[in-house]
Amino acid sequence: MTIKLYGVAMSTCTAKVLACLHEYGAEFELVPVNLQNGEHKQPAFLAKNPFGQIPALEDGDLTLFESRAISTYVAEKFKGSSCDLLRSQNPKEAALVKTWMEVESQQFSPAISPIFYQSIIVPILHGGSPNQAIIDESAAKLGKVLDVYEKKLSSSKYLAGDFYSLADLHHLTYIYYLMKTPYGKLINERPRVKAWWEDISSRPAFKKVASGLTLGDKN
Amino acid sequence: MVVKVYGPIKAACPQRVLSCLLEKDVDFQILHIDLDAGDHKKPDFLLHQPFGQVPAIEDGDFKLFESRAIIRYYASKYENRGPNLLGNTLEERALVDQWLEVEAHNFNDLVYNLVLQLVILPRMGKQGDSALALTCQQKLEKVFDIYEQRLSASAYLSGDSFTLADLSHQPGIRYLVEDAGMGHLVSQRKHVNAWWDTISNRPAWKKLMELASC
Repeated sequence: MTIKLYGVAMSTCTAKVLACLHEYGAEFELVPVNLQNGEHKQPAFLAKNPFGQIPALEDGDLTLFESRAISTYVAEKFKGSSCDLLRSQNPKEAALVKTWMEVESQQFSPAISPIFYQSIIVPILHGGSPNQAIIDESAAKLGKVLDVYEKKLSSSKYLAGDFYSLADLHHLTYIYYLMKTPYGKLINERPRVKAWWEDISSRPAFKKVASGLTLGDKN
Repeated sequence: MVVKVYGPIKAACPQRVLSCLLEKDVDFQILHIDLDAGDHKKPDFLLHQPFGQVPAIEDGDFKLFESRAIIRYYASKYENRGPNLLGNTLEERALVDQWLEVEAHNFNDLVYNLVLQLVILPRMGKQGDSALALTCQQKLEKVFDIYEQRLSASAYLSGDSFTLADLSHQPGIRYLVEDAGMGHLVSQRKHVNAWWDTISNRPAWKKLMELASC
C-alpha cells in the first residue's frame, strides 16, 4: 500500500517530508490540499490533523501529522536500506541527531520563519508589505544561531557528526527560501555554514524537491 | 554512573529531563545554574550548551542538550527498565513523536509566553503584557479543546499508556495550574482534567515536586 502525503510541494513543511521520502526512495502519492479554499480547516482534513496544518500522512491504518514526526517515521520504517538518516544502530550518534533536530526545531526555525513569512508569504499570498522590524529582529536572532552552527561545523562535516542526517535535512526548505531573499547573506557570510548548505542542497533527493519550492518565483 | 544535570530544579525544561530520569530510576546529580545571575550565558556553561539554555547533561564522557532529545535518549537507553515511555511498534512510536511535536510546536510557546507575562516578569518587578497573555490564553483554550477530543478516545495522548508525549507536558501544565492561575483551562475539560490528575500523581513526578520544594 502506498504512503499518501497530504500537502503542497511549495510548502516548507511538506517539502521537508518529501526530501526524506526521496532520500529513502519510498513510494508515495502527494495528495494536494487546497489551502486557498481553506481545505485544511475543513472537517475531512481536521480528521487527519486536528490542528488544521499540512502535511499529514496516511500509511495503511496509521494517520500522522507534524512534519518532523512524519520524517522520523519514514526514516524508521525504511531503515536497513543503504540510507541511514537517524543512525539508529549507534545510540550516541542517534542521540546527537535528535539533539540537532531539536536545535532546528527550537532555535533555528523560530528565528528564520518570521523572515520567510514577512519576505515571501505576506507580499505574495496576502498582498501586503513586509514588517521590516520583525525581519530585522529575526535576522539578528538567526545570525546568533548561525554563529553556533559555524563553530559546530568547524569540528564536524554535518551538524550531528561526519554523516548527513535528518538534522541537516530538516533545514533544507527554509534555507532554500531564505536564499531567495536578501537575507541569504546570513548563510553566505559564514564560510562553513555556506559550504554545508552547498553540500546538503546539492543532494539529488533535495534537487527533486527544490523544483517544487516555487513561492516567490516570477512566472 | 551518575548523570549530571545542569540547570535549576524549578525550571520547566530541566524538570522535563528529571521527570524522565526518575521514571527510569536513573541516578542523577543536579548542578544548579543561577539564571538570575546569568550563569547560563557564561563561557563555562556555553561549553555545555552553546545556545546558553538549560538543561544540559553529562553522562560520563557523553554530553547532550535540548530536553526533548535528552528524554528520547534515556527512554531509549533504558527501554527495558521501568515504564515503556516510547511505544512498542513503529506506529506507536510515531504517535509518541507526533504528540511530542505537538507539545513543542502547538503548546509550549503559548504556555511559555503566558507564564512569562503573568508570573516571571512580575516576579522580576516588571510589567507583564496582559493583552499578549490574553491572546495566548485564548489560543491555549483551542489547543486544550483538541486535547480534550483526543483524550476522550484514549487515556493518554499517544494511546493507552503514559509516554514521553504526556511526560513532556508535566512542567508546563504545572506552571499553568499552580503559578499562573490558569487551572480552569484543565479543570473545565473532563478528559484533560482526568489526564492531568493521573499524570501529576505519578510517583516520579511527585518525587520531583518534593525535591523541588526544598
